[in-house]
Order: sequence, then C-alpha cells, then structure tokens
Amino acid sequence: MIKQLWPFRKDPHVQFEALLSPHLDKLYRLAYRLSGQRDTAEDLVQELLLKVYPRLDEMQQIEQLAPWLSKILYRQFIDQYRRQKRSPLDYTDDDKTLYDSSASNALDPAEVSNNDLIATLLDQALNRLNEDQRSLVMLHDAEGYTLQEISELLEIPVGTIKSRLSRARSQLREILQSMEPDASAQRVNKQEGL
Amino acid sequence: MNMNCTDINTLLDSYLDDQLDVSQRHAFEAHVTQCDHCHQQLARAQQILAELKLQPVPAPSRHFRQQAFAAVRRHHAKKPQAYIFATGFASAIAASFMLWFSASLLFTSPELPQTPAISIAMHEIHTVRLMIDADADISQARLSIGLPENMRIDGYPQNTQLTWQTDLRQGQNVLSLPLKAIDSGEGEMIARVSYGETTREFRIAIKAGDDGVLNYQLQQVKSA
Repeated sequence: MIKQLWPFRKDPHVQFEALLSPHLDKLYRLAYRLSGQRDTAEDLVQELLLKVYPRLDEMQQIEQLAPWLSKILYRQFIDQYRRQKRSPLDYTDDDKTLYDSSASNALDPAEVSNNDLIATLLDQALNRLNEDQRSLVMLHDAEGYTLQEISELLEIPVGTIKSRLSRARSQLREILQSMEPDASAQRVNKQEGL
Repeated sequence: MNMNCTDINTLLDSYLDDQLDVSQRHAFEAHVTQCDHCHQQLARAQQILAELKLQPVPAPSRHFRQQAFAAVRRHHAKKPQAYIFATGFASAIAASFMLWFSASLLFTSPELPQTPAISIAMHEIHTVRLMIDADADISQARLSIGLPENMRIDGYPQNTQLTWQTDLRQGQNVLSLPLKAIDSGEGEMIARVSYGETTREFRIAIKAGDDGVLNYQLQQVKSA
C-alpha cells in the first residue's frame, strides 16, 4: 500500500471562501429584501461572514447551509438594524391614519397612465407597510421564498405566516388604491361634500 | 358551490397562490367572470404580484465579494502555528505529473541524471506527484517543499515553504502537490527529504506561461 505523505490541512480561509462563496449572492439578495438598502445589505452580509468564520468546522458538517446562514442573517437584521430604523410611518393593524397620510402623495391623473400606475406607486406603497409586512411580501412575492422557507427563517408557524402574508397583501392593495388618483379625488369630493 | 363577493375577498390570496381545490377554484372563477367588482379586484391583485416579481435588487458594489472575504481574513488573521495534521485532502486536478525518485536515505545518494522540467498554464491546478522509494522504514524523516515566488500549492496562498516530519514506509510513498501558478515566470521547486545526516534533494524546473496553453515536457526519473 502506498503511503500518502501530505499532512497539511488547507488554509481555513480558503476553505471558508469555498464554502460560503456559492451562498453570497442569495444572502445579499435576502439582506436587500429585508433592509431595502444596498449599503445595509452589504453590511449585513459582511457581518455575517465575520460572525460565522469561527464556526467553519460546524458549517462543514451542515448539509443545508443556505437556510442556516439565512436564519443567522435574519436575526442579525432584527437585532442590529430594524430596532434602529423604525419608520415614522410604522403602524400595526390600524390602517386608517395611513390612508389620510397618503392623500398628499396622490398623483395627478394626467401624469401617469393607468397601466403604469401600480408599477409607479408600488415602491412607495411598500414603504408604507410596516417592516414585518414589507419583509414578508418581499420574501414571498418578490424573492419567491415558500411559506415553509419563511416559516423556518422567521421561526413562526406556517399558518401564522400565511395569515400575515394575506393581511400584508390586503394592506398593500388598499394602500395602492388609496394612492391612485380616482381614490384621491373621491376623498377630496367627500371632504368637500360634493 | 356558489360564492359571493365576501368569499372572493376572503379567498383571493389562496386563489393567487393556487391553493384552492378544484371545486373552490371553479366557483371562484365563475363568480369573478360575472362580477365586475371582483374581476377588477382580481386583476389588480394579479398585477401587483406581477410587479412585485419585477422589483429589482441592485447589484452589490463592484468588489464587494473580494472585500468581504478580505475583511474576514484581516479580522480572523491566523497566528503563526504548527501545521495541523489531517487524514487527507482533495483537489481539483487539471493535469497530473508523476515524478519518481528514490529516497535511499540509508545509503549514499546517487545523482539524478538531469532536472525534470514542466510547463504549466496560469491559475490552473496541476498536481505533481513525487514518488519516494524508501529502502527501509524510516521514522521521522523531514520533508520540505520550496516553491518559486510565482507558484503556490492550492490552499496555501501565503506559503512558498512548507516543512514537516513524517514516517516513510519501506517501498512507495507518494507526495501529491497541487501546484498553481499565480504569476508567469520560471523557477525551481525543491523537495528535500532528510533523515539524520542524510539529505536528498530533488529539483523540478517549472515554467508558467501566460498563454494558458498547457504543455509539459516531463521525464520520468527513477534513480536507484
């Protein structure tokens, strides 16, 4: 039997990069979907890498590394970013005040055709969801995560995720409707008693 | 099954996510085709979903990937330490060379007839295997590998010198070196086997070319 004489283990940094590199794009996308900002998304991924490097041996034993990494990134987002960045428009289930605040942003019907209306207003409307709702909609409807994947990521039962997603979508639809010129005109007419 | 507008509103997301059973779906669609209000609600909801799928994710900054890993290297810089022994290693093998020489450490070393030469393409891994024939079991022989500045062993980006001790078995002992050229140029890889007062040195001339063409001239050397 031939004896192998190479006794060295590969540089752990090389191993780490080989292990993590295939997941970097997805982690960045997740971070962006959660934060909505490129710089914050990059910071989140950078911090994740720094945090998990000491767990290289453990990671090499994990079969499904992507969900494991995603979960850590999500917790980081919750711990470090979301608590610092509460939106002044943050609200829970009471959407009445929100509709009033959107009236000033309603567009002139002449400015935007109906076909482009939703596309034009969507980003603005998403920012008026609270952050849980926005994350949920972005993960499920924009990024294509399944309810099961979101359930594992957020550690919340699938049924709860489903009902929260339904509520978030409903909220989004109502926000968009309230921002459209017709709805705005109707409110003004109502206020003026017309 | 008949549905009214309230049912449609309740089941709208289930319909959008294709989670209704066949009879529910038929009833849902039957109502929507007859009710202008619900038809519009469904159309709007579908358009919103379509637009959400188009929501862009901007590309990360240009060197983000490299900078992120570089930061990990800086933050978790390895302290100088003894190499860790492991049971084995694997590497992508683009080409393989087998060189033979005898480590007859118990006797006078014969001269090798000439230095073998190999030419390798840049940034590709070429595994050079050194076969060491030992005349007897040798305990704690010292092996060292010295590389030209433009060469690295895959997985050891910082090292041009590696030294370790190992036992040699009587017979064939193989040392597999996945070489990678990080720059063009020529140089010599020097492999040394030492035991007691005796040292055997083996030199391989390596040339790394820019053209990416792999051509090597290899002489199998087996001296006894």
